[in-house]
Amino acid sequence: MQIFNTKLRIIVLIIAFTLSLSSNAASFDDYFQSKSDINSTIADRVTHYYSEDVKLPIEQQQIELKKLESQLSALESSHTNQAIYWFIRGLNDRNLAAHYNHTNETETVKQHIENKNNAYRKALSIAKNNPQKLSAAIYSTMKHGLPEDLKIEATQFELAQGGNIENESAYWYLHWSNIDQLKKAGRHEEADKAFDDMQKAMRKKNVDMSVYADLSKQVEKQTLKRTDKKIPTPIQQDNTEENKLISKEVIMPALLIIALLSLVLLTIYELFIKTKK
Amino acid sequence: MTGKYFLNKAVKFTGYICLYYLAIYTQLCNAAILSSDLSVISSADPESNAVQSFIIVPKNKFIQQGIKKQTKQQVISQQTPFVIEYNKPLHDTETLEWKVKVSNKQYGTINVLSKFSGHGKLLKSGFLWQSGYLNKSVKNRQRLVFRPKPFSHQPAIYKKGRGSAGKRRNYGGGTMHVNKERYNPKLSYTIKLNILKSGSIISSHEAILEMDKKDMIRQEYINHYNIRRYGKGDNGNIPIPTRQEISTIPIKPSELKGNPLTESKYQLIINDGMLDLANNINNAYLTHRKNLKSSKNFYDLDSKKIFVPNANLWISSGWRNPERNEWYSNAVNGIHQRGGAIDFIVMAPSNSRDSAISYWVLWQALEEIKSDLNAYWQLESNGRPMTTQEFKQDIEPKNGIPDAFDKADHLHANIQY
Repeated sequence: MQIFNTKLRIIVLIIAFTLSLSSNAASFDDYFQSKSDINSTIADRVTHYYSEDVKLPIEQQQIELKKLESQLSALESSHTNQAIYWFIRGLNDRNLAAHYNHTNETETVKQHIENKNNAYRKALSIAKNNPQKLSAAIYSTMKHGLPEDLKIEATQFELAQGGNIENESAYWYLHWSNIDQLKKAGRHEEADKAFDDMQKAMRKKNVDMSVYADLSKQVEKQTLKRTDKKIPTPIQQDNTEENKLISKEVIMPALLIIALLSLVLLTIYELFIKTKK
Repeated sequence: MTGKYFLNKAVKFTGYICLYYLAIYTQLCNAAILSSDLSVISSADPESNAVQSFIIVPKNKFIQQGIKKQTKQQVISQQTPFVIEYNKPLHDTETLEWKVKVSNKQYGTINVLSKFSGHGKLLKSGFLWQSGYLNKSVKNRQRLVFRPKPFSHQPAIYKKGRGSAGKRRNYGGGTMHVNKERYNPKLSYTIKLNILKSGSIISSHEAILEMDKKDMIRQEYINHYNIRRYGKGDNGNIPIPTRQEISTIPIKPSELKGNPLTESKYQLIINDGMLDLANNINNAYLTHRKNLKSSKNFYDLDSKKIFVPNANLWISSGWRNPERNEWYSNAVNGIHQRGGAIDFIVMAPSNSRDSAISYWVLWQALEEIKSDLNAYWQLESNGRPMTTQEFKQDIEPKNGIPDAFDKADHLHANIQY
């Protein structure tokens, strides 16, 4: 009777969990801004565990996460060439690691973190040929806790897609992160180039350099340890469309006035000659 | 004598040249000679009406007005028709012809309520409506009454940073920055009245009804009202600001680094306490950081001493007009639109150790002043708040710092509504 009660409770809890998922939780598509190629229910359940505080009792969480793990394993042969599959699989391993961390099973945590990193490595390696396949939000999620080289790769893919922006400045701090990681990895030339790219992007996007000069200066001094190279001031950077427009607005009337004055002077001169004659 | 003659000629010549250029300039600018003989009612709001500005309120929509916490909300008035009246007496032999030109071709037609004939046509430059020739037999021919056609927000749903086919929209900065998309045009109507006698125009009068910046902002809120959100959640229900709630941008104290209080391009702002909140947070952070540095008493989860970096706080977001909010956020009802929220980034490479420690210091600072601050805050990564578990665990990466701080890309704070 007691076993029956426990089973019933589990069923009720799972139904409640599924219902709560369908009504409130962010779906994979919502959260990662990308369509998953695998069963959407699986992807949504994995996302829910990652992005929200799950209310289920700890033992139910374990049952659900293990179930997801076996469902994902079953899909491996048919999805082995899909970057998004490996991302979801890695994300589930990350969820399992978080779960076992909660229950203080250190070795199991390590194992799942290793599995997660391997899955993300596969995702990145498949995505290399076509980074647009995965969204900036996915790269941004993957990069945490990855080995250095993979973290750099994920950050750069994220940057290439304009970053997973949530506010006005985050994109530029992501540039800084890329430069910082390259520098720490001893890839100095790449770091310098990344800084130049950041400057170019700032000019292209026409950011207000009175605000962002501070940031550029800090990247140069703190990360690139440069002291000799002069940081471009807003005045030097007038290659932007807006400045070109301003130049046009100033130069054209000035030229007109000069032409007008020349005409007047010429007439005065002609009149002067005439009256002399 | 020669000198005088020469001076006279020179002055005359210069005068002609100046007049010539003035004429060309006037032509180029298409400057309107506005007539004082036309009286205009453009809005039920006296302040809008005084500057011949307006907003367009859709029919049968009950939208609340009053966006600030302390403002008493009221249902916004329904669209009043525009009334333009020629207020001088007319001779029986005179005929009238009205013309209405809509400035933005994407927001085409108007609904003429005056009881006289006319027709509209879509030109390359926009929509043009013109009446027939109105002789003395036409009743109320001196008064033109029309309504603008309501328009709505064009994109089907909110989708942060993406347009059709998953492509990022070429947009970022509010209507004042990019006005080529169908989001929130600066609408205006040019009304021209020709008075004719025996088929020839004897006088022309012009009036311009144009949304000013405050009404453009208000129109944005109207257009975004009840907008569907991307994914699950409530539709947009942010109230419309009154004109009095929109003000010039206050000066940001020099201690506050980073972006201005708004990056929207209107040079106006809604500030519902965000500046005070920003100051309080920044001061708390600097004080707490100083204390930690001098006490040298800051340890990580593995009980190792932590060196506190000198990273300052950087304002990344303040007030956002709805368009800008739509680009940056999934939150259709985001408090940035109310002027009650502020986002901070710590000045360190994102997701670096320095950044993680600084967010930790910031979090502690806010926990210390919790009772005085009367605000809500959360650490966010990829637009989601960090989970409770992430404040406790240290696995991504394992570095002695709770994952929430490792992953955070900004701190969001807002006054409580």
